[in-house]
Amino acid sequence: MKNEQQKISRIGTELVNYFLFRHVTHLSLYLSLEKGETIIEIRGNIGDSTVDLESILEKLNVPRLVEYDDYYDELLGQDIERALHLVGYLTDKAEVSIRNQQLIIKLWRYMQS
Amino acid sequence: MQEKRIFRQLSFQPFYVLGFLMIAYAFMIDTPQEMFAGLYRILIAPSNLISDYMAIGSVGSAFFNAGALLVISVAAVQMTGARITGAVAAALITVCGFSFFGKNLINTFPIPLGVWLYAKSQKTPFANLVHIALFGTAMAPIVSEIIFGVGMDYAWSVPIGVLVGVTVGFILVPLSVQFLNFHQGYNLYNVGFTSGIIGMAFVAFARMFAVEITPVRFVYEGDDYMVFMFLLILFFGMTSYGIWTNKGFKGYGTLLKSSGRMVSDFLVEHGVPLVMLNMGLLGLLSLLYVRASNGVINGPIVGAILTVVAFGGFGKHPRNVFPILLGVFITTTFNMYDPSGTESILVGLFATTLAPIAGQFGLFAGLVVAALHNAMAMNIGFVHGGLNLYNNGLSGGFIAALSVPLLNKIQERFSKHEE
Repeated sequence: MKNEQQKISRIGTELVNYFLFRHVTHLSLYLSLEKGETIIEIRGNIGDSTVDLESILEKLNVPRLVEYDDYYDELLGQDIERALHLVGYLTDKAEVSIRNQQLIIKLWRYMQS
Repeated sequence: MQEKRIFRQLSFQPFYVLGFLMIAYAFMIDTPQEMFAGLYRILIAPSNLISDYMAIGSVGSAFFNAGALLVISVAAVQMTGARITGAVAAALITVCGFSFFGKNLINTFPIPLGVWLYAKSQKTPFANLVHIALFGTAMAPIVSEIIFGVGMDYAWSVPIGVLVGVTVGFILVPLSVQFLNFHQGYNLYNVGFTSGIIGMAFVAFARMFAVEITPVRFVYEGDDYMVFMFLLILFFGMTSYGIWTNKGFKGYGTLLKSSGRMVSDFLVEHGVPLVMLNMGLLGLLSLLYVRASNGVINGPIVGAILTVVAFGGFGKHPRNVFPILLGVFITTTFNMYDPSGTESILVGLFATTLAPIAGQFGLFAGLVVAALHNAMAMNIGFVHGGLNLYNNGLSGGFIAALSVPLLNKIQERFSKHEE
């Protein structure tokens, strides 16, 4: 099945899409692929626009479902409405914040033994 | 920082209870002699569409077959270590439903075996693919057709039938993953779409060598009182249980707002009580649809109703299902097909594979795609010779691929005007 790099690539692409569709002007993506844990952090300048942090967290905080790792990740990158839910199913921990007009989403994905 | 929500998964118990209830009900309806004689006829039937096990066997033996297959499937899922996600719940109940017309205790096993071999070859836990293995039994008639339908000696037909079934299971996962992109998750019966394509290739190849898959139409048209009552009590019980454990309808409005597009795992996102309530209401709505159409609740229709209910944890709810049912109902009133006929009612119930389109684009879009689906589903069975039990999954994939890009454009245009 897909290796870890492919899955991270899909999650990263989905997050980039999410930000681009919200018309951010500057965007940076940070990835850390350590043994046993991957961290994905994305930050984008949202200017003065308001963001519903609660709603983003609500979507990302759906339980991790390893069952969906090898199948439904194919749908990543296609759907703005369900995108964050799907990312939530594939990650173990999420933090969302706004600092200096930057929306920051940080995700942790732990390796399954 | 909020912590991730914990997945309080549904236990396996309700599935065992339903399976054993069906087995017990079988013995209430038929004498043991009638039941086992009927079961034998079911097991040796070629089982392609439409093979109603209530007509081929008997009402009791169809219930026994469905109950037994559900119990075995649940035990198998439990052995793999898989959890009951919305997808697994949908797959289990779908298998049970289709055990009234096409899946039996013989023809279903080679396909999951093929998926298991695929998982081994890819070093992927089988537990992650178990729902695909279960949905993949859509192609079970290919096994029965080879073993019992083409007139070969059993010494050849049994190993060839099993081998073909295993091969189908082996190729099913990579193909169905790719086909998700074709309809972008708007067709809930994705494995049905994949199975249809595989069946189409298989039948085309067979026809090239003058091997014809004989179409069949065994449909029960007798008294359906016992079947109706079983389903009515079951769905009423599920609805009541949902309302009771959820202490009312709290949170159901949020579930109803979901488009239902894949992946909408209501079981994970909304919990067991709301999903029970949703499933029960979908069951009652489906029963109402059959009665409003003046149809007989036979094996295929029980299968279709249970499939609507099955997806009550994975994308369907009354708000996105109703426009589809209404669309097919209106279309069958005006077209050449008998609205009370089994085929028309089946299309209506199975057309809810497109419920996410109604959920996302609204009532009018739901009505239009339902009408298109009605036309397509009535004509597409020929290409796979009825070997794919999820005929509507195949049709739904094409309709979604045909309509969603256009609907997206229309929606974009209207939202631009609003801006």
